Amino acid sequence: MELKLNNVTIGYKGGEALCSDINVSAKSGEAIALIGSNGAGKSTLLRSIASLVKLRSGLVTLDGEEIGKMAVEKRAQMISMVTTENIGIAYTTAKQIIALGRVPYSGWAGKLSVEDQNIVEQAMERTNTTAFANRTIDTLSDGQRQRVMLARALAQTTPLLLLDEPTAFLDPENREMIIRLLWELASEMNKIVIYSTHEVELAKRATTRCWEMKNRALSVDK
Amino acid sequence: MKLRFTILITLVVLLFIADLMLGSLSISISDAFSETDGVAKQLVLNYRLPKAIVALLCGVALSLSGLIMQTLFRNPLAGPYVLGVSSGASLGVALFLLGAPLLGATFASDMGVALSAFFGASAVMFIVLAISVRLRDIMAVLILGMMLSSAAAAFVDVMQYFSSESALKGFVVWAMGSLGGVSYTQIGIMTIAIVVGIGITILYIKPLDAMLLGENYARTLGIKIQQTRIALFVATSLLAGTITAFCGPIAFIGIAVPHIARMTLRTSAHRPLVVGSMLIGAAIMLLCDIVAGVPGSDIVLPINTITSLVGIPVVIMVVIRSRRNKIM
Repeated sequence: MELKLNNVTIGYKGGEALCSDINVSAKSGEAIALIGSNGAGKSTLLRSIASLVKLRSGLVTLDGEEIGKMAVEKRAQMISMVTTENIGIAYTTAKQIIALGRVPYSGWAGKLSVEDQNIVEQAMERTNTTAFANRTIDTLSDGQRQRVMLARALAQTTPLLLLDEPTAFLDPENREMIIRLLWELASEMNKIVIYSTHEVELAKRATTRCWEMKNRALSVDK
Repeated sequence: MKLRFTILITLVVLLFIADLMLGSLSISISDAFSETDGVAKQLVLNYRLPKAIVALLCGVALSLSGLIMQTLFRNPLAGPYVLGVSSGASLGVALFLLGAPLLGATFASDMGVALSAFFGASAVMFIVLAISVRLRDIMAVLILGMMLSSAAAAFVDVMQYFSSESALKGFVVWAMGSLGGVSYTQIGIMTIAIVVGIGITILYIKPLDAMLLGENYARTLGIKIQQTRIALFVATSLLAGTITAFCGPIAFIGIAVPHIARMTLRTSAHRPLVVGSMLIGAAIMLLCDIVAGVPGSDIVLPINTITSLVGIPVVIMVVIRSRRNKIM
């Protein structure tokens, strides 16, 4: 699978363009760190790829198919995302949150099949969240919660995984753990993983390459 | 979970029967359904039975609309009464009962009242929904609802000032809120509207669950946000609008019951919550109706005073908890 950005310009409606003429691509098995200072447009780029934000111009394709033109149900089976939003849902366990990753595959009532449940179990094992699967989300630490959100995205079984600042609010140990895990996931499960981060040094050690956003342009590093 | 639902269903049935039997005059079931056409039978069939059915519908519909609003707005304090949907209905009814005579028209039908309440409710619901998309803050949306309520109330006050006594009386009686005085034909209309509202909600259980994660996550999970919003918007207007139309504004049931349901079922998943909210809502509304009738006396308290006494403590508790944990 290949993700391609062709002459892409991003920015919110009414505002100035944040970054223009982006021409990059990524292949299955690659982990890519998106770096750049605050306000450079890292989140917007990730959201634009996921089609949560409209592109100013250009083309984003996954194996030649334009992402923005996919049916939402299909897109949900191709791209999963972890945002910076803080999730607090009363009486809801880690496992229930992770199980929501199966929404694009379940029937109208959202009931999970045995296969769905197996996928959820695997996602929990891979992210080391099994131990607190039955604890409610509000009792978890920031690091545990981030792993739960990652597990939810894994349970979505998509070839492309986007993460917005997965290392924010984490202590150094957890930051390293998450970034290494993302790298492993990309190569082991043959996914394209793109995440934004401020951990430049760490990211340079544990990714295929870095995309740096600076002065309204994106350059590929390494 | 199954045991809890069985208990809830039993509770609703028992309270329904109790609501038929208790009042200024205690009536036994055998009296009510005896062959002879006595006073007791008349009282139950023509007064208490329709009132109990309306209480049941009221609890079901308001609680469900509150649950939908709380998920849709991602706001634990959302509900038909606090967000001004009931006030919107009041304004609609005021325009119909007070405004129309001012313009020289003298028509007043129950269906007219119902329709105007429904349109008023939908209008406010639409405004709040449109603005809340831009405002994420829990308290801001709440304040917005209060402001809309006040604006509607002010407008109604002005109209009341210029209205004739007879037109005014009709409005004041409606605005006090009451479960009584609804005919069987009207109950039929209410039931249809509410069943449609429940049907739509059931179809959207999965999107509702996904919406708990917020709009962005829901979209990346393949949920059609716009379509979901509109469908649920229609459902809440049907549920809350219809009840307000026939019973007047009923306070705090819509906001409080979903929280009671979450606490008793210990879940935020919508499949159990939809059913749980409806059952708990029905039980509480029946209980409120029994209490309002003050069994054994001639006193009948306004239903809103009782529902407020039940609802307000729950709302206060939610405010304190959400400030502390930032959780729904």
